[in-house]
Amino acid sequence: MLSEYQIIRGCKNKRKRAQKALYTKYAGIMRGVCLRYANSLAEAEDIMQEGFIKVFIHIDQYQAKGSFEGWIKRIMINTAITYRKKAKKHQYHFDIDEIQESTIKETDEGIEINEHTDKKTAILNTDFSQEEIMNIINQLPDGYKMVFNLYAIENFKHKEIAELLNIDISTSKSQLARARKLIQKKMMQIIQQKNKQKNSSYGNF
Amino acid sequence: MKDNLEYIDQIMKDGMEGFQVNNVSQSWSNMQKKMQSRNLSPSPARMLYPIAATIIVIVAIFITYFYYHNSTQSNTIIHDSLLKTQPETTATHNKTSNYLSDTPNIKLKQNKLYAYSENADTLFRNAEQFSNENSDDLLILDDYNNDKQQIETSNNNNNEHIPDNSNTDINKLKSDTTKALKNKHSANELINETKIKVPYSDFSSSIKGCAPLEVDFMAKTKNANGYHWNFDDGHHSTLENPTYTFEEPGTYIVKLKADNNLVKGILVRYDTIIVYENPKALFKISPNPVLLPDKPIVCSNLSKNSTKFRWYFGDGEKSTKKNPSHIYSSAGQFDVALVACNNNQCCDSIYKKDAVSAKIVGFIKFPNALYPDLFGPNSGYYTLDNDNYNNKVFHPVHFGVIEYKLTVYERYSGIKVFETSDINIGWDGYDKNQKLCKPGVYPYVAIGKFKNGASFIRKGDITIIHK
Repeated sequence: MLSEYQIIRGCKNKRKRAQKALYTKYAGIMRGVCLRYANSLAEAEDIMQEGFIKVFIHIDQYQAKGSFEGWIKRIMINTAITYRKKAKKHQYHFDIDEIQESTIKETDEGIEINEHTDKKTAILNTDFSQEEIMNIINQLPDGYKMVFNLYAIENFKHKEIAELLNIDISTSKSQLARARKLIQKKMMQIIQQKNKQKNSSYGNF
Repeated sequence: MKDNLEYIDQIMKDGMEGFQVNNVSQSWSNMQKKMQSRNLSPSPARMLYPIAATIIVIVAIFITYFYYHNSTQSNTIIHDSLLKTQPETTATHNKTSNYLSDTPNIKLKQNKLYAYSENADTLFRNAEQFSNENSDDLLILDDYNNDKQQIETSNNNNNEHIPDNSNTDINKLKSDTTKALKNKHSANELINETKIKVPYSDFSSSIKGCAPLEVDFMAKTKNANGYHWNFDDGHHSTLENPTYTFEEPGTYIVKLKADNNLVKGILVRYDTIIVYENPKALFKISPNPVLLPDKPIVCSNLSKNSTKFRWYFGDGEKSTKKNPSHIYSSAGQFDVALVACNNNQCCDSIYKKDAVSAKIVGFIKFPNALYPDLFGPNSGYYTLDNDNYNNKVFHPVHFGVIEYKLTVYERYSGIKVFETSDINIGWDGYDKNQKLCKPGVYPYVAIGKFKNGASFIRKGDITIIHK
């Protein structure tokens, strides 16, 4: 295992060993990052490798000012956005509009069903596994997924998101709100399932 | 439906913290293919270049070596003749050291090469082998017996030796030197003077720990007068026993090179330092202050790089959940601490003094206006959860109330117009005969008890408005 300093030095000199070390060190976590933006593991892998190629090409530009992982992550996110734009050039805006109608209705119903439970406390008291969280993200429609990832996870501002994705600031805001509602709904579904499982297991005694 | 859902962000962010997908088969080999197609990694043909370069370098070394070997032989002739022409008395102590430093450079370089490549033990071996093979430079080697033998032989062959161009033997030169020096120095002295001690350290170890890892290094090296520590992250030290802190996680191979009078930068020691990533403990607690008896605090765990948690709520209670909630049984200021550990047993803790103030208070608060339903009395029943606060029913906002009595009077006559001891029933603005009260000001008194036993009295007036 090489230290970060050695890896960066090696990669700047195009050393294969260092490149492999960098790849093996960050592939797992970056695949996770890309998976948030991708629709499948294969797509995530594609985005990630594309991103790593950018990392290897531009490693000279890394000034060691911020965290190295953060730098790589940022490259991955940019790659993912470009990839998405390329892949869904024509469908991208359609997607959002289509989904807005149907999902909002669903969301409202979902909220009314659970009127007696304090949802926030229920959600806060539940430990969601990483797989569950990832599932929720992956189930989000593309537009929501992008905005939510960038805003909530990557801490971008609405203005930056709007510029990155070529959408209005208001669209970004409304999509974020809808994504949150959708996530909340999915979380509640998971909680209900968990409760059911609990109850049924009690029933078996 | 205005729901503040920002907490969702935090949960999702926490949930995805450090998410990894590993064990994707052939990932790196696919990557290599991509890199090759972009000319980023050397193709197989290109990889032959270093091999070719190495071969050339080796050949070059051989050629240089043979060249130098010949030239040193010719050098020795000069030395020899020098020694011969100069009288014995001039071959002093100083001369010896001069001679030493004049010994062929290639030797020292060779020594250095060996020194770089191996640690002290093998250095010795190599040096011995080298001297045996070439036997032209015994003086700089730490081989006491060998030297002694040399001197003995020189004692035996006490004859004058005339250098022969075609067959110069360094042993003869050696014996000449010895002989020349013998007038001033005994053989033992010579050995002491010429013996160069190679620094060595017999210690090597592996240290593991959590970042930031402070390590005390000790050279434990003999025969050395200069040290050069390379900490493998771009930092160096020339102290004998430095203390160094490794901030970044990673594996470091720390090298110690030592100098003596003659040879610089002999690698004498490796240490492998493994620095594990440290977790960072961080948390937030809401709400603060928390109202007892039945409101819980919800702890949001913002720790990084951690898998195991232990919470201390300051009232003797603990939890190992990631995001626990907790209900305090008594009022007061509580310190909350969190210990977050990862799988390498690296832990971080955070302690917040007076993180929570728990207050056992119920509270009760009345509005000051009422718009009765003009179409007729309603039952006055209300729930706080479902209230739209349109003031059709006069009722308090309350919490933690267990005993309650509300009486409303007519202002001038002092007649009771409404009385209830059920906190869930409010006044709808109609009197006991279900008659709508006139607009105006109606005083009220509310008495009762909170859950914690404290009693309360609230007096005030309510204005009825018809609209």
